[in-house]
Amino acid sequence: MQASFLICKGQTNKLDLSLVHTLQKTYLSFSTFYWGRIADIHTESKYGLESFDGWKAISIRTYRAKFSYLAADHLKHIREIIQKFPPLEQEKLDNNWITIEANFVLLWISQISHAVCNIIQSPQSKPSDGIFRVMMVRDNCSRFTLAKILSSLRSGEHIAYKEVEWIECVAYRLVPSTNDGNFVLDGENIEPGPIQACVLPSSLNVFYHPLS
Amino acid sequence: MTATPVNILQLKQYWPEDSARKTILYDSNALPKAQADAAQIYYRITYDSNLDMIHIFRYTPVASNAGHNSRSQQVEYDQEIVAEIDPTDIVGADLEIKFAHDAFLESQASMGNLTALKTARNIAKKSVQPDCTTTAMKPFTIVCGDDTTNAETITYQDHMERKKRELIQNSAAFRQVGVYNRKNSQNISLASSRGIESTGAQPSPSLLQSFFSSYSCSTDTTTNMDSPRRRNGDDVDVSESDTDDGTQSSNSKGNEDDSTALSFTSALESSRLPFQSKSVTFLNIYIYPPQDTPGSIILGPREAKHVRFQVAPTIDFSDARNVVRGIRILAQIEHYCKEEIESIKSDSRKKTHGFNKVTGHSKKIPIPPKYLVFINVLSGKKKSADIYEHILRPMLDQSGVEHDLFVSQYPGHAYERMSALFAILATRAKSHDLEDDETSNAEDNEPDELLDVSAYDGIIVLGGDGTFFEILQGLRSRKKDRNDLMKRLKFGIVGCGRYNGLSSSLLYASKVS
Repeated sequence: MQASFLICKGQTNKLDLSLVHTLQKTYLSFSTFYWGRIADIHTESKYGLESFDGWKAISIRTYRAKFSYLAADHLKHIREIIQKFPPLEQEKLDNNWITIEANFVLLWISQISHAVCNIIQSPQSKPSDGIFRVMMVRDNCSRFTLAKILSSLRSGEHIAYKEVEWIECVAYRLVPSTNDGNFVLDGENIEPGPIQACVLPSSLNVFYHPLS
Repeated sequence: MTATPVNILQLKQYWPEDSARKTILYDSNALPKAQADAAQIYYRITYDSNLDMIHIFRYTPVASNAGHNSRSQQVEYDQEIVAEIDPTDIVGADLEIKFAHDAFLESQASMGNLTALKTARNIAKKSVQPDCTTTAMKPFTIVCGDDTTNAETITYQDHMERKKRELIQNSAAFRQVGVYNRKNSQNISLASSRGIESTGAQPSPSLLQSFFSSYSCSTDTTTNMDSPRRRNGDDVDVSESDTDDGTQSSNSKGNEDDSTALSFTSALESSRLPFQSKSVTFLNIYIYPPQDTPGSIILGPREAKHVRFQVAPTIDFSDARNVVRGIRILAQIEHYCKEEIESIKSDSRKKTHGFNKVTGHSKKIPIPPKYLVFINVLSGKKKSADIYEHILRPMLDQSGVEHDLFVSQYPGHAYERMSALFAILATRAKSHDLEDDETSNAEDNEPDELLDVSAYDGIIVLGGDGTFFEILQGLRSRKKDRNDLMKRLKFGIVGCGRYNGLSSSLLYASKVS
């Protein structure tokens, strides 16, 4: 009802998209990419993320990967970045990329605030802020904390935990050391393997009405 | 429903187009000073620019002790606020003109449904929208029909509806869901569709005068279709009592036989009515206020609270049209705002350059936005068809947006529809059908389906995130014009899926800022 109302009022605003490359395919994405524990829940659970229980999902499995990103202050040069985006096969990145190599429990990259209607995984994200917000949990997190974090996803309180790290970036690349695990882009399972993406800021007109 | 007096909205107000924000919709001087029929209730619409609110006042005549012989006496009214409307809650406004007549069915039988409807539509168009630059924007819904036999009638709109309905029902997936139950619309309705275009030729004022002198909307007590019986007897005095314009002729029964003999086409030429009839005009304002306290949040659960007034008899509809226009501007409905700015521009041009520019002016009719609605009947709890039927479609109609429907029946269907290949396949299928006569009939019924995505102004998705994802990938696959399309097309998503991440986020962004 509300969405229909917005459509009929006819006011549009911009929505960020992103261009996602894997080794085989290129996608146009609008919301989130997740990998690790949360993607496993998405894939394994019968009901998906909509109704998972944080306390049941506490098995910790870590994934070793190399995560590189281009920090959010490069947003001004985004056009050049999109044009000169290195192919995924090219291993070496420019100096301004920052690389983290660690064991991750989960990695959740968002452009919008909700991945599911009742999960607010990235409360600060706005539809047209032009950045990815990366939420990651590394293997220094206990099972108890992880369960608490997962349970508080519904309310958005998980941002208070110190185990949850946040990065703002305009482009990222994830190279996992093994190809197992689930890769979920916009709620769709995609092929596992190295993946990279960059923001296409404000590239789509969408009906919504931001408060000024 | 009850036997209350006729509600009349006096439409003698002035609505300047350029300074809509500071206007009173209705001038209090226009309140009827000496009304013959003191039992009438009047409504008045004002706009308060300080509060940013539209107020609707009701004026009930005070029962006076002066007695019955006071025909010329000034009538006093009680003023009372009936409604307070936040303009941002308004989705649309239009005029609805209803012809209730007896002869229509007979001509229908002789001429066939669609011909009769087309002719009636032409007449209505000529009479109602002589100089309207916004013909295509559906300022009017014209409803024709015999009240007593509405179950039998086939409407022009129904004709279009049926196509959409067949499309839904033919999909196997839909049958599985089985949530289609909509009442048939009860009137012959000639809602303007894209098919109505300005003819360019404008009827002369005298022609209009004569038309309206015989045909201006005399008030009719059949304000709703549920009470057809009252039309025949007791309403004649109402229409007689209401001839303050002096233009209406009362609808005597004697003329009826003559009018039946008139064919629709000759009536069109002679600008006489094809049927002796009463007509009634309504001003509809479609409002969806939030359910909790208004103004607290911009988005919340909303419910439909539409306002409907009967319009007082007028010579032409320019006043009424101005009100509709004004409400639309106030409501800040985006596609209307653009249209109004256009028409103001062209109006001023017309004024400066004189009237010989009229023909050029009529070419500048803004095309209404046309959206393509994707329905994924399989997504989520399978409610998308239901949501379309009960929420989105009426709302789109009310706001004057046209749309085509596309039912996604299997995974990847939406992708195919979006991709550039579709246009090629569609044209090929068409030419193939032309060769093969047997299959061509099936294709003729759905010409709209063959339009390429680039022909639309926007895309509305009733589905989940997955459907939207599919559509985006389809868009990406169009190498030639994807950048252009991304800039031009407007995307709307109504969350009907399981995850609804995007629609939730957009609503969240609209709420929290």
